[in-house]
Amino acid sequence: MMKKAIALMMTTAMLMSMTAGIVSADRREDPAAQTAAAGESSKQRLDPYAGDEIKIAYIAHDIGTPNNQGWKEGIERECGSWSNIKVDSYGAEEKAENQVQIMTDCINQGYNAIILQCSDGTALAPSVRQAEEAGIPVITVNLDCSSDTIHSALVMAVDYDAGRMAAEKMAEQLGEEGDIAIIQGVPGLTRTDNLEQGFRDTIANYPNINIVDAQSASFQKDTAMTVMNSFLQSYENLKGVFAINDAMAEGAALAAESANKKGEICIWGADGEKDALAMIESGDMAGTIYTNSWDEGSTAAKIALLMIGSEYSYTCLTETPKVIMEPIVVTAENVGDIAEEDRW
Amino acid sequence: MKRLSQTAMRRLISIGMLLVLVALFTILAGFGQGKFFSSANLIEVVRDASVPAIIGVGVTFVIITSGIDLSTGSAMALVGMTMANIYEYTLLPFKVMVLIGILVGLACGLFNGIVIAKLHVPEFIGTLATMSIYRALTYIIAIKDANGVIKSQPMTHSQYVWLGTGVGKFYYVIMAMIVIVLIGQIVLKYTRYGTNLYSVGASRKAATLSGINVEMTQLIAYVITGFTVAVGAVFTTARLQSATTAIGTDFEFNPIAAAVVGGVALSGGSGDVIGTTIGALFMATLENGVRKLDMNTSYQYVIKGIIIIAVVIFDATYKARMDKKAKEQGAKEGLE
Repeated sequence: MMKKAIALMMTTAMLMSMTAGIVSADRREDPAAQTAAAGESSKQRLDPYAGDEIKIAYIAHDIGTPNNQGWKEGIERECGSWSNIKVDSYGAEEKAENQVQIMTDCINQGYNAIILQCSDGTALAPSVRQAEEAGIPVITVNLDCSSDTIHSALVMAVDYDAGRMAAEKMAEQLGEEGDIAIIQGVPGLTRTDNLEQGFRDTIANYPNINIVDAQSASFQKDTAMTVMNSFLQSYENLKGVFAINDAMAEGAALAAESANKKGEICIWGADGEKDALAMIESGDMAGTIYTNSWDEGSTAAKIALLMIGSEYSYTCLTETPKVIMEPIVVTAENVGDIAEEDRW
Repeated sequence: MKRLSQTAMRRLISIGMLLVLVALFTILAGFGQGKFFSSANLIEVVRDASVPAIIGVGVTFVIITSGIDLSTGSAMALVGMTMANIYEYTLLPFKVMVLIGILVGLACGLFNGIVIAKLHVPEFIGTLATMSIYRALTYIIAIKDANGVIKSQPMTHSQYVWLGTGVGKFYYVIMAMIVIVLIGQIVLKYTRYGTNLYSVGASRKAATLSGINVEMTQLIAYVITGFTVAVGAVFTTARLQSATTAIGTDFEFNPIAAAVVGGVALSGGSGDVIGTTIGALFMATLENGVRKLDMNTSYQYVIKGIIIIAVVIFDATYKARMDKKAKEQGAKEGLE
């Protein structure tokens, strides 16, 4: 009993002295933090093209998806020609909490720029602000962080307009009538909410097209199959489905195929990944909105290098500047135009 | 030299494993500013370990009774979303908001306790069910925008932001962890209730025969878990400065893994809170260290998995050896 009490006290004392040491050590580093808080950027200017050592972090929501792999590849290709530029990729296993931890980690490790696909724009906002204050430019990809958090740049595929374009083309294919449904992604993400909004607003112009249902499949192919199956059972006259991303559209197409309705239902996706393009070629899917992911990743990397090498800093901005990637409406007619080397 | 007791030995091994891991990453991922072994990084490791360690206190109690709680992640989301609703729709002061959050956590724990201790639903199934109930409730009360789409709720009140910071880099969440862990350890080792937890875990029948209220002991363990979950949720939302429906997804395994790595037997009856805390530190170190190993993310996950399996195998082998030794010792003493 006594021994344990002593052990307990010693552990506490050790913990206390350890943390005290750390606290005092960090106090010494405080001046830098204070300048940042005063609204001045502590960004250090380096020249990536003149041999300065550069480290760029790429933090994905879920590193396993084709989109993320496309961006990663694009970033690596862009930086690959310079041996002094190093790119590290991190996956957050789809959790905002993890992403926040990785952000703090990258700030501590002194990365020169961070390319981030926010899991959740609101939750990541404080971390993005922290990084920018520490002089690390943050370039967000596709998913912005909440609007009042100004950062170096946002590179994105069109969202609202992609929804509009898909709706217009789909309406044309359906002859402007029929029941359709939407398969949603994870609710609360700006990009996907805008896509859906663009789609709904446009469909509202066609009085004979009814959106009969909308269900989330969390961006997952297998979940989308289940959702599609339930749509097929509930709505006999279902003519079309718009899925917020291609993975879910592929799942819906597989479900339609196994219900012997291949090609009968007009299934649209968005993103333009390799598998979806192949399914459009085979007639399983009706169309998608294609964005070149490699190009998008490499654009983000270019901006990162520009920010590192320049005196630009987020402090002179009143709004996050955007680069919007060119959207291409892909259907069976023009899918062949997308060259093999542009398929990610 | 006096022989160390088996629990003290196990503790030394836990600490040893943690130190070996730290040393390993220091060699592989370097030391100095911006590297693994730097004050800034190590304090982040402790910060990342804090929420699993806080919730680990409750989960340790539950596991000692040979139960399990799979609902902690979902309950965290429910607590967070309740506070977000109060934040968005009422003018109640900050402290009341946190208090209500804690009450929701306690209620979740109480419900778990009733389902398991009073209604005798097996722990695994019972908390698996409440895990989906709490997550679903979170979706139901989630804040929606004009189109009925769920959105994440910013919570940027200065007092809330303050909770996510600390004195310098000595974050408040770390202070909370130290306090809760110490109280947990004292309750476990120096109170009647703590002893009862071990008795229930070791043998429910024997505990009943010796006059322990088994149901009540179990129920209180779940309520305590509810409390720690609420505290964890408050600090998590404070750090994210927002609440979302996704908070705590798959989180439930973190405190359980921490407990197992820290020497709490899933079969119940052994282990303690300090062990779980060391386990949480081990997991956070592992998580943080592999990220700095300059390798493909997929391989990082593989390394993480392998190390965890190695630790658990080591633990099982060690325990088996120790049990055998203890038996031999007992037999020898019996003969003498």
